[in-house]
Amino acid sequence: MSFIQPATVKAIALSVDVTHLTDEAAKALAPDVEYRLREVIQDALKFAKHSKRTKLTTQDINNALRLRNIEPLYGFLNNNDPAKFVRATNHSDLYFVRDDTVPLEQITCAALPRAPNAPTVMPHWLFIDGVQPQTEENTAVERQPGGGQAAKRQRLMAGAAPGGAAGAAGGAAAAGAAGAGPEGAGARKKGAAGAVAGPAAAGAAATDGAEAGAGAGAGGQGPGGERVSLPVAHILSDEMQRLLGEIKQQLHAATGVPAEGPGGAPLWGSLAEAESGAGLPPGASTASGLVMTPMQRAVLTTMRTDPGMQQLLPYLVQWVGAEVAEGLRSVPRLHMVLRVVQSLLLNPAVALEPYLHLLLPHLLTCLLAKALGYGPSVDHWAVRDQAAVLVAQVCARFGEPFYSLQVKVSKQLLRALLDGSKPLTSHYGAVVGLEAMGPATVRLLLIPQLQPYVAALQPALYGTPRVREGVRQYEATRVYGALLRAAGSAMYDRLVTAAADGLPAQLFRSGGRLSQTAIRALLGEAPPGAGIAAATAAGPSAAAAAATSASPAASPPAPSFVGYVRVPLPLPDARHDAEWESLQKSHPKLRDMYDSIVANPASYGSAAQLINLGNLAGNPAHSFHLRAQAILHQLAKQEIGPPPTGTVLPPPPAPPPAPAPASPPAASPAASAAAQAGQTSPRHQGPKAATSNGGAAGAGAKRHSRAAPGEAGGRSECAILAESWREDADLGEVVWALEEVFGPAFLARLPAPPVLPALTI
Amino acid sequence: MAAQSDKPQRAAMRESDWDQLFLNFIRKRGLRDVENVFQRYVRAPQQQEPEDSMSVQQAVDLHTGLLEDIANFAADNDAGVYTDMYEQFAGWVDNSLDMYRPELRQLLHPVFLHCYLQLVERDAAAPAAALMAKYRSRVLSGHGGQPRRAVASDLQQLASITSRHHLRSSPFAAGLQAGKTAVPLSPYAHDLLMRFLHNGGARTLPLLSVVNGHIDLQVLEGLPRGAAAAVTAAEEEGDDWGVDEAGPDAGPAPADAATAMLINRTEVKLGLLQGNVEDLYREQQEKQRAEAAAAAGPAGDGAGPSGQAAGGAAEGAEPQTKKAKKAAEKAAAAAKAAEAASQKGGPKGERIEHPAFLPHLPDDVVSTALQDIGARAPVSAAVPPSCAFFTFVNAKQTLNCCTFNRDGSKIVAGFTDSSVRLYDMPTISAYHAQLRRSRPARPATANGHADPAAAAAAAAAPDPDDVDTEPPGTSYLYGHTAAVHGVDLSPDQRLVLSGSSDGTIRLWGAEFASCLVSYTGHMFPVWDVAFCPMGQWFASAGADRVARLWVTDRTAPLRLLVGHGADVDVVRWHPNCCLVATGSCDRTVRLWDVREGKAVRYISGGLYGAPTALALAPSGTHLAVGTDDGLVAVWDLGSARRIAASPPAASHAGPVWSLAYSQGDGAVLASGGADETVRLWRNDLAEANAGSAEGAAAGGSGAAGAAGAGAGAGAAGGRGGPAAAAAGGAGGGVYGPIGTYRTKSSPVVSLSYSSRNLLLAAGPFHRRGPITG
Repeated sequence: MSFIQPATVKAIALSVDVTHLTDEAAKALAPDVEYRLREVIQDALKFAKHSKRTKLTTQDINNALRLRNIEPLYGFLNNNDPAKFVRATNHSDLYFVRDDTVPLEQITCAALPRAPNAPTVMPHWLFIDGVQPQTEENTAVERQPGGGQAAKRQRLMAGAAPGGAAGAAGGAAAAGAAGAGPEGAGARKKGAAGAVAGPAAAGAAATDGAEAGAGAGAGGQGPGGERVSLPVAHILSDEMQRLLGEIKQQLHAATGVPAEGPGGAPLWGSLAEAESGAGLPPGASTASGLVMTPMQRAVLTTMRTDPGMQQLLPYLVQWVGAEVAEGLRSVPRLHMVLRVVQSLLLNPAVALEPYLHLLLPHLLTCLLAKALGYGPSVDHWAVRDQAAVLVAQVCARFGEPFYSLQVKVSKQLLRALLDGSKPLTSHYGAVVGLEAMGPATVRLLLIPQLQPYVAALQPALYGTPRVREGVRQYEATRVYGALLRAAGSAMYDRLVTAAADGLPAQLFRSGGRLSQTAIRALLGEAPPGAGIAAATAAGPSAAAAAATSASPAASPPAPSFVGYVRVPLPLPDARHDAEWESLQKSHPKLRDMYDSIVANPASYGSAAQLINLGNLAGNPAHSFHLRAQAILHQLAKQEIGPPPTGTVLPPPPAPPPAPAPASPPAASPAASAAAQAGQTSPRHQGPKAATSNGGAAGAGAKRHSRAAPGEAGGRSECAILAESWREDADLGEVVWALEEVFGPAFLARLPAPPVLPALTI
Repeated sequence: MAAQSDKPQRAAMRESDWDQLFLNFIRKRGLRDVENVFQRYVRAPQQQEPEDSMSVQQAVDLHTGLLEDIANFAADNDAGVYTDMYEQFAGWVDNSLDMYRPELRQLLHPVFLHCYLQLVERDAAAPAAALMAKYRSRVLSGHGGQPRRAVASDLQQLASITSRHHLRSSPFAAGLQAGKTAVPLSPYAHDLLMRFLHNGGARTLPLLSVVNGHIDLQVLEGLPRGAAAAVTAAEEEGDDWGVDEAGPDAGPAPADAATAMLINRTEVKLGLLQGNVEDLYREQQEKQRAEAAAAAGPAGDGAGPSGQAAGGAAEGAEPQTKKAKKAAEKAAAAAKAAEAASQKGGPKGERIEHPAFLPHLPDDVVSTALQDIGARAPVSAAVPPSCAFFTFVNAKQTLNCCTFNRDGSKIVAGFTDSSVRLYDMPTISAYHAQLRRSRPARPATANGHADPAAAAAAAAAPDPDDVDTEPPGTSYLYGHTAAVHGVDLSPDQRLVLSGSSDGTIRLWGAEFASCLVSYTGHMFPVWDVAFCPMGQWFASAGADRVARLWVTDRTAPLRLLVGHGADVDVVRWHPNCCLVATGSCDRTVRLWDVREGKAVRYISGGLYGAPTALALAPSGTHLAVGTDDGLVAVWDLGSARRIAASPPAASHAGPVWSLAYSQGDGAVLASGGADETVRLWRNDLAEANAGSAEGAAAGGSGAAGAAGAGAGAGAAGGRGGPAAAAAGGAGGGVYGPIGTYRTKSSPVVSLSYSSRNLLLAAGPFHRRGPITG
């Protein structure tokens, strides 16, 4: 019957470094130890009993130890921090508490805990003349293990009252309550009268103004005495419940498209994504995230139009939360959630305001989460884009009553962006979120932070020769693309606004959105050329910027801009040829890409691909190093080479080996400059024309006057950007600074109108 | 058995016969191994034998008589060893763990019996007499070591055996020696005993032989409650300890019966004091009635029954006394009181003289009390009381005790954080009401189902930044250095008494919230304090197993009430202020005489657990005891018999923390416990007297038609009486449950009736559900 075994004693002895305890000693000690333990527990129980508790606390044990003049055990007084018991090795039933070493400074320097609330007293009626009123202070459920005597009494009382109805019983109790008075239980001056008259003169005494709570509570007793009022906050009709069930069931079965081709090969998937991220409007890719059944479409339509959704709103909001929490790894489900929110937002009969505080965190989760879906190959970017749009919509729609909503959300996004510890995926979400907030937000919050951020992004963008850098590099590319898009569209907006002062107004009446052709037509009016020729004389950055090969004549919608570099025909290389052959077979998409580059080497997409290829080819550590080299080799046969990375982009760490000898960065500016000398890009005219038309100083001139980065007296791009949000900021300077930050790629984004991804429902 | 029957002769055997005897016995039993060992050691000194075979199990296996002989040999026929051994054993039992002590105590009496017989057998008359005297004094003083089965006949018969000759001829002794006393023990108690016997070495050998020879240890699995329950069951069957004690095998008999018998024969005066407030009020009423009768005599119905006379008297007296509203009630109460007074009589009516050592109540206290009696609501099973519950919020696990003043407007509470706090309820209520008004759209009330804690938390901390400012109406009495376990208020409500586990008792002035005196008599924690109903005296109970009596103006205790075998947990004053009741962990309740400091009543049987709450009926004849296993039981103090106990179904599901009798006739007993309920019990003995009186009074008032209560009151009163009587008859007991009222989530730490019979209860709010066993 003893709990302390000799083995336990030995184990404890070992723990205090007594290694030579004999078996006899342990055997003799064990009963004694147990006896002492029981003594301490007995005393501790006394303390618990006299504190009117049925639970033993550590304080009781310490009191018991003190009673026997034993040093108490320190460190176990905090009840919020339950002791964790660890099992001793090789003992099946011996547990101990691991003693952590806590530095004294930690205890002494720790902030004092908040003082507990002062105990105070709240009086209420537990029962009145033996009947318990059903007030909020009393327990709701009437349980009577004592045989229901009180219930019988209540029934008796109700029967005694002539009316027999609940009102009579209520009156009887009310009389008691009235006599007893509402608050000061001590002041029972009329209490005697009430107690005497209460049960007997039920009918007569009901007139007295009873305390509302007690009277009403007693009235609820009824003849049965067992009525229990349960709290029902919200009653949903059967139909609505069925509708809700149906909606949940339909929406739950959200499935994604079967894995697309690029999904299998991350590199090419990533290249394609890079293109879409940097060049194409993201809306194009969103549709691919989700395949909806007709039923689901119908459900979403219902949610968009049915006014009855207001009733379901609490449940739907709850569903959204649960779905986001559960479906964080399932992109289709997130798509579905976003569509649901979008539908509710579009529904004119639904007032979302009371639930905004519940919805927004989930949307921000979709936007900023570290990882959505399984693995990096999943297209979670589309989810983020959509979430960004939704957040922006919510902010715009509810900005009137909650004026600080957008500010708060933007600040949160900015904080996420500037938090270096957050993953790049979150940064991406922050950037698209800020972009969706509108150009003003971008100019105000994002652009001033650009320079340091992009600088910090550089290492990730161009990778260090490490394994598994590919994903990060890809993510960095996405972030970079998003930044580019955001800054570009913001500046575009600014330029157009500035230009609008001097431009025909009808151009801007098309719903605030200018088509590309319109803007090109607008910008193309400007006389070509002046001052751009001087670009050749400027440093490499200007040269790179000027190395735009777009032919003004070719006017496909795709903006042709950052060029490629003409390279001499490469030396034949059997290895790259063989690789190319195999690639063509295994990855037909590569062939398509190759064809598109060859067909239009000056397009922006081609340029992006080329840049990527150049990077990959220059990175021997990358797994697709050889493939990229092979492709470049083939392109070089067409005299197409990857462009230099411009001033911002550092040259590749190692020049591509033999097959691409013609692509050293030093050669390209000169070549391109020579080739393109005299050509001017209408895009370059754009800012200048716009700004000059707007009355500002000539952007082009400014830019070129400041073209040399090292020029003394010029402000750094960082400083320029920091002030770019001002109304009177020099747009030319800003554009220049952005170009400095982003490289020539920025100029490609500049004229692109801001295109927000639209949800297709 | 043959070996047993010739035991007396064997005592006279010579040592040379022993080897042969041993061998014969072993061969007869077929214990071959033992035989071999014995053969090997037969040349060796024989003292080795017992030491080698001292394993208890082995010893039990061996023949008991044989072992006894060996023990006799080892003891070397030294008679003193038995006395010493008994002392040692008794001391050990007294200092064992509380939980197992009652079980081990059962062993004391048989051990004593057999030690005595052994001494007699050795012709050691003087040590035997000494032992007997010691034992008797133990029993008399009631100091621990109460033996089981120490009945009067046992002691008497034993006292008559003084020589070996008597021993042979006494059938009592033969019966004792032939049979074995069954003692049920829990496993750990058995372990403890075995270890004690084992570790004592040669010195406990005689004891070992006694235990092996005459006591049948029955090890019962489970908690050590089994023994006590068996005892209680026996107690319930035959409450008569002195009559039938024929054989030792008559089954378990009441424990401590001898002590109880010896103590409970003491004469005790349970009557109330002369000139107590109730009597004063009655006299006042009589006088008024007489005056009124004299005034209205010529005009009214002077010759009617007493009820009508009362009604008429009330009507006549109304204009000159108090508020017109209360006239009817007062008349009814007066009539009832008169009726009760006329009906009572006998022992209940007896009054004892106001002793010189007691102070008199101040005049203002008396006048207030008289007013309160006039305004007191009659409370009975038919008209149950109302209960105001005071929920302590933010006090979970820190509220230890609290008490109310006369009308419940002040609450004194002792906390674990060593503070005593004084709450002024009108101020606090006003403050809360003001908060509620200033915050009309409080969500708690809007939902209709908020817990009081939320509301209270909001009320208690009106502004989160402003936690330092306490709500008004609270004063703090700081001075103790450890948790406060008991508080009480003086009858004039000016002094607060608190007892703490730092071992001190402090007296505070309630008005200035300052400490006046610190009484440092207790060595260990003070568990309870109680002010004398007349003031000046107070009693304290502590972990040092002693209750003390003090007067406020001396820092040393005047009486030490010594006798309990474990911590004294609770102490209460008898209404006549000459007696003090204490309850202890040793599962006994004692009543002490204040003047002599002696125990006058001893209640042990029928208690399953340790008493945790006591209440004395206002009439002074009943003592209600609540225990830590939920039992509520009532004893009649005059006869020291239990007259009622709560049936298990209606008992509390956890410890009973508080008990209170209603004011006046004590017709309703209220109990509150850790199972978060308040339970009401009707006291039919009070009601049997009062019930008819009440009916008559109500009828009287109805006939008089003095108040708006009208005929309905009479009808209800008329119905109430028979209903209660019928319920009493059906219940079969004099105390029966009236109702159970569950609090939301608060154990009921304190209960008391206000002077106007409003039940006041208090407890800390626990957010979690009920904690029940």
